[in-house]
Amino acid sequence: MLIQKEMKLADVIHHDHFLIPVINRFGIHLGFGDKTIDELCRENDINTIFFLTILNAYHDHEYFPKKHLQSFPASLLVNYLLKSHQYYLDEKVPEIEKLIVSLPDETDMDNGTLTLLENFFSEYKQELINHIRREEDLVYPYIVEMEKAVSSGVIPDSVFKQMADYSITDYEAEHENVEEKLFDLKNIIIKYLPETKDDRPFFKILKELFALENDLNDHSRIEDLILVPKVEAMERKLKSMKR
Amino acid sequence: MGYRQKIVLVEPAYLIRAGLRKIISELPGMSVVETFEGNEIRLIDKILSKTPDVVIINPDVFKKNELISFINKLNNENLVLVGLTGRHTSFGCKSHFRYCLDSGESKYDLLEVLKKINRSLQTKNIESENTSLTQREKIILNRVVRGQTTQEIADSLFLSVHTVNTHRKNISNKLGIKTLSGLTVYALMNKIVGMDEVE
Repeated sequence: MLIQKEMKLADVIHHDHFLIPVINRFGIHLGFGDKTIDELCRENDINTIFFLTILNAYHDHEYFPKKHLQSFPASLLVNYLLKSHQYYLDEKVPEIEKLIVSLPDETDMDNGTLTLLENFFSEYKQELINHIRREEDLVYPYIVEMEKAVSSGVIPDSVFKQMADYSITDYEAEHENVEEKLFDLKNIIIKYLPETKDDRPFFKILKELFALENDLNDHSRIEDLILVPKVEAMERKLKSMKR
Repeated sequence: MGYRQKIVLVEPAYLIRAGLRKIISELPGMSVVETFEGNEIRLIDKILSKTPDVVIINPDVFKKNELISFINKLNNENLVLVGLTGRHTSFGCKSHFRYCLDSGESKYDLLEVLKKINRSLQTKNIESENTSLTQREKIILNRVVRGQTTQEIADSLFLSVHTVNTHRKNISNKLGIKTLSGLTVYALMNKIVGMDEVE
């Protein structure tokens, strides 16, 4: 289904409830009645094309909004990505951590194994935090500054220096290490968990890990499909302006 | 259900991607894990990161010399390359591929080709289905998680670096665990290494 601005948001959510955290990040709260996407965007001061692009990209993995890429600023996208980072670090990861830390009270598994899992998850968490910090401290500000330079025509030296040091193309590869760790953690629990009388607590953890993985995959697909091409276009433009 | 062969599809036209996806979804042993349009930056790395068993590509997305270097790189990775060809594809171009899916063929002819690919890969997967580690692999895993480098392991066991690397690759493939910390947890849980030996 292609999500369009004339549709009622309630219908869209009934069709794909995985979009709930997405609309939440845009500041749309439940109880929106029969309002259309267009109406809600105007009420909440949201760029409609941008909102539709994000909804469609989450909803349909084949969606690729080539034509719309230029119709909203990169800074909007950066803001959105920052909000989803917040969601991982402030909500999702602590939820899973809580489940893992409470395992000793919930299962008869020996403490050695549980400590191993706990340490492994906290290692993963640290890596995720580092990756997110790096994006927020280095990559995102670079993008915002670059966009300013493109629109004003004034290019500070710092932007050129950064363009030479670090191109957006390098950035996609960095996602993978963090993903591998999460995959390993799931596989260890699925395939190699020692026998236990009651593995329900582990089901819960697995379910959350799959959900987190899913959400992170969507997040990086948005970065790869929308952010990276946008930034690559700006990099080309700035290089031609310099000449 | 057993192992599903992973297919990566490189084709610029959405209609063809969607059609091929649909046909492949009818075969339980295979699934399309990723599709590309062909103009992506660092396409090869992106393809390989999906660890596909089969790569189906439309040769038209490349210039001739690009195509050959692309094919050579992928052939080194021990996967099956399939050409997505049409009426206009030259014979010379088709000869680069072990299998061809021709866009003019009927659904069942296409399915026959896919089944053939599926069967040819199954024998390979039966061999790697055995997931328990050999004694040698356990010894190597023990040293890996104790922090020894490949060179150190090779020297102490009188093996070549290449052999140690092959063992390491096999261990990761068998267990489905890639990261060092993941391997460490596995080794500790299965008493392949003692708690006091690591850190």
